[in-house]
Amino acid sequence: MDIAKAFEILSQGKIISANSSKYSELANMLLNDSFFEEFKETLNLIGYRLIGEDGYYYIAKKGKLTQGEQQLFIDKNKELILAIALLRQLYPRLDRGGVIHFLQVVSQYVNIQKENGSIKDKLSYFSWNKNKDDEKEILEHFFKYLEKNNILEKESENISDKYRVLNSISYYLSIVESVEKGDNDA
Amino acid sequence: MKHIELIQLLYQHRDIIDKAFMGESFDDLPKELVKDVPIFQKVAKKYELSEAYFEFANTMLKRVDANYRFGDYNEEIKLLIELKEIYQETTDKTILARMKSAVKTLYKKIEQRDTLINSRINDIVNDNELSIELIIKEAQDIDDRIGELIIAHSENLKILGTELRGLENSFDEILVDIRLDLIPLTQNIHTYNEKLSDFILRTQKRKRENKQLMAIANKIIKEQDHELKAMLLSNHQLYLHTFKENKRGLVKSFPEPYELKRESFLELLVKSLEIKRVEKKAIVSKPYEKSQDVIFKSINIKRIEKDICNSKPQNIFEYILSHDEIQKFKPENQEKIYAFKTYLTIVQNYRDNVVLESNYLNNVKVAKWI
Repeated sequence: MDIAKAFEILSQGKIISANSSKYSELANMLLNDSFFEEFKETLNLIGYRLIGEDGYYYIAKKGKLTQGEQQLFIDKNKELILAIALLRQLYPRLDRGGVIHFLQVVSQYVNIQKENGSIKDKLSYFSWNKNKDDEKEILEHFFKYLEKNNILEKESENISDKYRVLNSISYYLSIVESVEKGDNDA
Repeated sequence: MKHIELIQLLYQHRDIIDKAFMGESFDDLPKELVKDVPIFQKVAKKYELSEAYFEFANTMLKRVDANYRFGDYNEEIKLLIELKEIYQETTDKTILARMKSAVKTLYKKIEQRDTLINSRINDIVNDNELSIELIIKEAQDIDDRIGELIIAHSENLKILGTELRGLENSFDEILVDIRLDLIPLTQNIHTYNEKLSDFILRTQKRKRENKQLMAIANKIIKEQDHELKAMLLSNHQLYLHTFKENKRGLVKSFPEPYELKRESFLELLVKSLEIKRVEKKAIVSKPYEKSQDVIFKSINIKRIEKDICNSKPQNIFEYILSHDEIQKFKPENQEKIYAFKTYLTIVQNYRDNVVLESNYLNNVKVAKWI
């Protein structure tokens, strides 16, 4: 693993969590202070910032965002915050390092939906949600979406049902906290 | 009834007892389970397992009922102090024997309490059924009780360590041993306190986060998320940059095995592969076209060379161009190309017989045969 490889991964817009098995090599490199600083300097030269906090790492842009970038940035954050709100509605105590099973999530979703139909509104929001009737299929997409965005990770490739919650969940929770804090301060 | 008979009785009726342990109640039961030993009790006209049995089973299985109250053993300590006063007055050895037994029983109870507190904390931490509010309340109740127990335990240690000592050597030895055995249990109760306090703080934080998440999720759904947008845009340099996905050159990935199993996928596949009946005499459009003959043409350069040798032309290129070996390329308008190629070949091969003039005709240097 070198800076070029690290850039190749992080420049895909991924958040790398220290508790990820898939990116453990990169996470270990980023934990190394000299590698982190060198990488940070390199990114700085090309207009990006390397941010590492609370057990996760990502790239931010220094300069202004174009209109297209702004829209993409807002939409992605909104969808992921909504996804985490949905996860927490299903499992109120779920947090980084926690483990969930897909089939349990489906059954939990069905139970909650019986009492509170509004949970379906959250799933309906997602742009990828084409089949709005087959809930198991939607939840499968939901898991794939969380996996793709590095919030969940399969515990093992052999056990397809068991997922680990990555540290990156704290990134989105911190955004929510900042907004709500701003609201309360106002 | 002897103890061995009790064990046999329990074994004989193990299925009924196990169902009752899981919460089942019965209208009627074998007499020996109700009259001979109080394993069952009649509650609201139904038979349920007695509290004494639940307590025994839970203790053996290191389980603890959610409503169990952990004892502070103040009564046992009071009894020991009373027995001490009686012994000091009477020096009756039977009193001392009772005191030894009471101290040992007290230690067993404290050790048992330690196991039960640990089990109860694990139950709370791993409980995914209860709502977050109830979990916090239960954890808080247990934590408060542990706080009380820490104070009581500290008082009990003082009494066991100082007040009861000095009556008799063998009793003092027991007190010292028990005090040593109590050291890890004392450490444990403080650890439980810290563990539970930490758990309560984390759970309260999650409760707060959930409230904020639900509020913001509703705003997002209702498109009333201006604060979120404003906060993100004004601090974008702190947040994950969303790199635009490059759509060029994307190859659609193969479906995953679970996607293949999906009914919607199978339906789609069946539709795609639908077999249509075709009439036997239906006119079928011909997918083939008759290929055209390919004519290969070639130049007999030996013949041209021979003619040049005989004719000795003053402009070799013009001579070649007008030669019938070259003129056969005229239909394709390629006669000049082949004439030039032939001209170059001959000029190269017959340098001694060719003189290159300084002038050009039709952009080709004039060469004459000598």
